[in-house]
Amino acid sequence: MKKNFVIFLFLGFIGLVFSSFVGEGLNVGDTAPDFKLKNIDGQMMSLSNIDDVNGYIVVFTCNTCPFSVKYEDRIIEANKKYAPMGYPVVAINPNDANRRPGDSFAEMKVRAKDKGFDFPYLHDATQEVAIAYGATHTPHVYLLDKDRKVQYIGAIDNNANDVADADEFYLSDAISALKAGEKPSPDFTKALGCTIKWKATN
Amino acid sequence: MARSIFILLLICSGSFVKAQEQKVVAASKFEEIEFLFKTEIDSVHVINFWATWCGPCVAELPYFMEASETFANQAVKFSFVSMDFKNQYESKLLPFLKKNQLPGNQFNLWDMDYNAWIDKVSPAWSGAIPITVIMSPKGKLLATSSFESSEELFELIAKSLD
Repeated sequence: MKKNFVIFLFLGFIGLVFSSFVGEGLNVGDTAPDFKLKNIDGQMMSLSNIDDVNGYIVVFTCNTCPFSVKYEDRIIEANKKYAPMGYPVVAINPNDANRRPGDSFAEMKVRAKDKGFDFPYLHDATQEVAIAYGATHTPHVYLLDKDRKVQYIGAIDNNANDVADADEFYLSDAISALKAGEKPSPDFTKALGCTIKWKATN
Repeated sequence: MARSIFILLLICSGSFVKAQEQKVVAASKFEEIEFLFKTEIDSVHVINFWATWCGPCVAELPYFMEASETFANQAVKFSFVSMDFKNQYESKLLPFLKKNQLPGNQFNLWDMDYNAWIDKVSPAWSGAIPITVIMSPKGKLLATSSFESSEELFELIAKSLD
């Protein structure tokens, strides 16, 4: 019995090492882990705290990345449009504030107030959530269904500079597909973004 | 007389070469710069994606300047692909390049359909900048995060050379 437990722990450890160093993260179809992170209102928050949802728009973003700033208004719009349909935005800032003081918890509160964020803006202080999800850059969107199954990973649309010039609306299309009971297509896109400012590991 | 014309020509050609070095090629479509990632090459080609407003990108640029001096006598070429937006070409990119000398060829890519071309650079690229791609007869090497020192960059170039 005890031996089994040790083996189990060992396997778990291997899994942890694998996920944190190989950076596999989530793929479409995987079930995303829930988390408990501090929101800008000071309260700890989990996805399970949000009632009556059909899914979640989890977006890794930050205050300081020019790509994130470009998408800020579009993230606000997405929440206004999709939260009433049961797809609320949950924004997570994964940047290490030591490397990027503009992404500190205090600065997050200021930014959210200035821009009038009406969705949670969570501080991933340990970066464990970004690692578990496999986020690499900001902004980086994970669209989950109500069972936290990943349905779409990638960009919001195909023009970071100006939404008026975009002609692919990946996130909106993915939500429309889910609402119609279909699989999003594409379910994975790439976009330029700012590297997440990881903590120094040693 | 002939001699002074010759000297004049020399000066002109000199400044012409200099002007060429400063030139920034603006590309609306990725296809216009796709030749940079052709694998059939006989030298080492260091290609860096950056932007004037990307802090970690700008911080590592001096390392490339150092590398161009360190590897000056070897078959190493440099190209920089700025991801500054079209409306920043005149206002940000050109003034930056006037103030900060970068080695090799300068490109400004305006192709906003990122998802359509990121995999053409490398399927291993998430899309985060900065990124450095080193092309050599041995193939393609990626540095997917910024360099902490010039030595890190030198090491990768040296690895591609031998």
